[in-house]
Amino acid sequence: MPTIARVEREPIPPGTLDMLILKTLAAAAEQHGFEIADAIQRRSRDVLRVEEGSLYPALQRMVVKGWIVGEWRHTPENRRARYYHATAAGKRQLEREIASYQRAAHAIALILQPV
Amino acid sequence: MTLRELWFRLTYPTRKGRIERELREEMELHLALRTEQLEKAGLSHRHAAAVARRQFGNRSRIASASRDAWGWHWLEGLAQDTQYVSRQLCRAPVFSLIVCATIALGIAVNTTAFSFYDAIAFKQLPVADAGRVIRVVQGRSVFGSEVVPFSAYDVIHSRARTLSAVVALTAPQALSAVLPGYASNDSRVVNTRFTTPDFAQMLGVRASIGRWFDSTDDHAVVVDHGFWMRRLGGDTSVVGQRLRLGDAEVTIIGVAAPDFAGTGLPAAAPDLWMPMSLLPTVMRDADWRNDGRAHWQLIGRLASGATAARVTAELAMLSRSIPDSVGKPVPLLAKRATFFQTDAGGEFEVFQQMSAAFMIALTLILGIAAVNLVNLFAARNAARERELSVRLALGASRARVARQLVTESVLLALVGGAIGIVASRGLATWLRDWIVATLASVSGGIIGVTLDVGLDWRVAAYAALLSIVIGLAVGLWPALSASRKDAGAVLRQGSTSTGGAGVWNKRNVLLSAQIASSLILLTVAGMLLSGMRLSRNIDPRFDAGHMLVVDVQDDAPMLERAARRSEIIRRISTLPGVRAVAWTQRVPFGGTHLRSVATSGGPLTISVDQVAETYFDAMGLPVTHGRAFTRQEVETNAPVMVVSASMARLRWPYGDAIGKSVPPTDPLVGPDTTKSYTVIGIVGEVRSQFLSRLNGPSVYYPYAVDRGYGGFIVRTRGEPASAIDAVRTAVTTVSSSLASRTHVLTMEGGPMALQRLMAEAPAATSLALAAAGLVLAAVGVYGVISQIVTARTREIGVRIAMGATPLHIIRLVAVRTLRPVAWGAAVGAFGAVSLSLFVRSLVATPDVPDLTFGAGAFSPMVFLGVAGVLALVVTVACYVPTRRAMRMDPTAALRAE
Repeated sequence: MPTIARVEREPIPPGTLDMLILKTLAAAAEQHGFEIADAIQRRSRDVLRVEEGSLYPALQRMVVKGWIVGEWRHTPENRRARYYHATAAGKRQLEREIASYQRAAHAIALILQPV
Repeated sequence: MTLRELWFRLTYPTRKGRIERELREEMELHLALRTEQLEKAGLSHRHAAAVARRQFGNRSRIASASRDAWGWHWLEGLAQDTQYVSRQLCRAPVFSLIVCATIALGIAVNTTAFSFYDAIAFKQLPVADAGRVIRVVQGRSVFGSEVVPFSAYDVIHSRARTLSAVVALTAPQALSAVLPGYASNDSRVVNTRFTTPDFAQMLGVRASIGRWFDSTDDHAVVVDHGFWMRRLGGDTSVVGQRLRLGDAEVTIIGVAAPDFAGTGLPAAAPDLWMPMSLLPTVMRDADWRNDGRAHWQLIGRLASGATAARVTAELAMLSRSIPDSVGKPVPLLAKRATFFQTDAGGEFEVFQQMSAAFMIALTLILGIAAVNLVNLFAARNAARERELSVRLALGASRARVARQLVTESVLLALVGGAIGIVASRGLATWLRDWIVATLASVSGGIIGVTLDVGLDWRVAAYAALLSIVIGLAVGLWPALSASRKDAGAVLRQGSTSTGGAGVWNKRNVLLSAQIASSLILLTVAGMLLSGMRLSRNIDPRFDAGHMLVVDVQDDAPMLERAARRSEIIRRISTLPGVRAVAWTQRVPFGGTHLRSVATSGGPLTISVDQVAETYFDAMGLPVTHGRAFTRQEVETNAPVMVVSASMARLRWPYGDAIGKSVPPTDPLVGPDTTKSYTVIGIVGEVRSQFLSRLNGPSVYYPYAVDRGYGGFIVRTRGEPASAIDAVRTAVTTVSSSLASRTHVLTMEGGPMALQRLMAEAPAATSLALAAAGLVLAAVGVYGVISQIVTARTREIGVRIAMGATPLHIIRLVAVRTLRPVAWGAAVGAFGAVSLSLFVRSLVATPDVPDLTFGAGAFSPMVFLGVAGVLALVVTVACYVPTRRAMRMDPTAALRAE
């Protein structure tokens, strides 16, 4: 039986999924759900594993918040898919989340550095 | 939240179908793309699809999490749960019925109790804009501080600026009246309040038929609506008719509005409302307008912008011009007007103490019932373990499963609560009517009380809240433990488990608590019941069976009053059926006269009475040593006294008490504290302060007819009731003006009945409560053993198949249950003993009645009896399910799984 390559994978740190989605969307005009999941995995060099299903409640939540907008289009393979792009509010939200994440990461790094 | 977002959320239900469809499509696409990707990596189609699905996670859970994003999930979930749960419950009608009935019972009883509390604690005056109504009372703590002289009304009426209106009215006066349509010799007691003529206009009180009197009316009365219905048959033609009070005639001009229950203090509508101009006509010699004495209750309406504090400040200045009968200024203050007297010592304080005890008992019962319900729900959830496990495995979240189970208990509690509220209406009304009727009958119609136990928002909120709390309380723990089960394990095991040790331990604690609570309730009930039994046959030690109590209210000047009293005694004593008649400051059970004195052995409460010379004869209380008072001693208020045997023993343990004197400084000194009092006679012990206990060390001093207040006792030869009319006539022939204010009661039917009621009412109540508690506890024991038997069917089957004897099975099933029962009994016994000690400290106080009537606080017999009843009930509750286990057919039991 063929095996798929296994790397040490980490679940996405709690509370950062929105940020990762927004960042992915900010980088690439518009993407559908599968592309977003794939992009996060790829860009983290396969370390971050999105529990794929959990992506969709997050997308739904962000649509409700008005951070992203979804539109139905056809993929190059001519399949119907919902493409998401970040709104201006979404981009502002991304900046806020990155800033707060970096503050937290910096603080954690300070704690972890050798004394 | 932005407006756009709010709009999105609010319009969700209209777009729900499309959103769900699109989400499904998105997820399908995702799975298809992932499968293709894995296939490209070399997996077979089936394997790739499986891996994709596993990586994706549980689709229904994700769909429901997506729905949650819209913020509607709780409502949808609730609707769904309610629907689902209703279906489930309809399929288990017995279970639903038992739960509903238990909760309905608990809610009904508790809500009834709260209705009474509500009716008393929060009742305002039933007048227009009651929040702005105040009472003007004396600003010194004296007995009767709620009444003031009429001059206060005059001054406030003409000069107060902080009050926009003020009215004055008297306390209810018990009068004898001949009502329209009744025979002229058939007089009834009617309670009448006299008011300033603008009373109704100032307070916004209306008449339902006819009109209220105003300042132009003379000889006009308004009858209370309840009295009109009760006594006058609700006949509209009575308006315009006359009624006779003594020798005065007045005209009924209206019937008060049905919701006007009077102005409180006391908390009952009088039967008649009269303008104060009628007072001297109806109550001859009562010059209450000018005598400077405090007869009048004042009710005022705050002027706009005024507060009670500002009224009090203004009253402080005005009170200088308000003299009392001896010319001293009367300090006044304003306070919020309540229907019941809420000050210390008022009706409300007594009520609060009683309701506290009552609420403790009710809480115990509700607790016992709640434990049963917890067990019921736990058993139901255990039986549904498989169903729940499947739901968990199919993607229902644990919180959702738990919520659904709690929805079940809350739904049942709400249904039960609704039934309970309806039942409590009937219960409260019935209880209210019983209380009112009983008070009226034992007081000869003099004591009345208005209790509006209708359903207001406070009562409804209380019942609703209580239902929800019960629903949550009994459903939450079983629901949490059921949803915490490992779904996989249960499904693999494929059978109901025997229940972990932890579950049983918790249930054992609950069972113990039930047994302990019901033991405590039973012990209290047992104590009070033995008190009630004793009260039935108790000998008051005086001739109560041949006694009439005569109350004559007279406002004539003192000399004339004394002459009338002497004449009343002379006339009654010449009646053929009368053995003796006596004047006394206090008739037996007519209030208490106790004096606390310091002795070398600590404080001692002695009973003090002031009586005329014929008193001992009229009581049937023989003077064992020495002699009774002479007429001359009484008339001159001579410094002599008669003591009870116990008093004599206590004070003069060596030698004869007769002839001994006490100096003016002695605690036993009589009313004239400048003289030495000499003992002239010794009498036996009686019960005349409280029927429940002997008066204890007692002293009697002479009491002449020219002293303040008092009453007459009449000792008859035959049945006392047959002498009532003759005695009444004898009084009214002395002066016809007394006719309206003379009341004659038999000792047995009046004061003694009231004394017995003090034991009977709590005994009956506590018995009912204890019985409810016992039944509930028995159901609890039964339920727990049944569950053991059901859960261990297979094990019992195996044991019987292996040759276990019935004794083994009993040990297996029942003994395990009896251990928590024994623990509960031990704790309950401890609680009962502590409670008894507390009660003993209460009944040891001589100035409260002993509700156990001398049975004592902790009676081993009562306790043994109670323990016996409990043991019997537990045995029966054990027997039924245990027999089921013993008779189990082992092959059937094994096949059943």
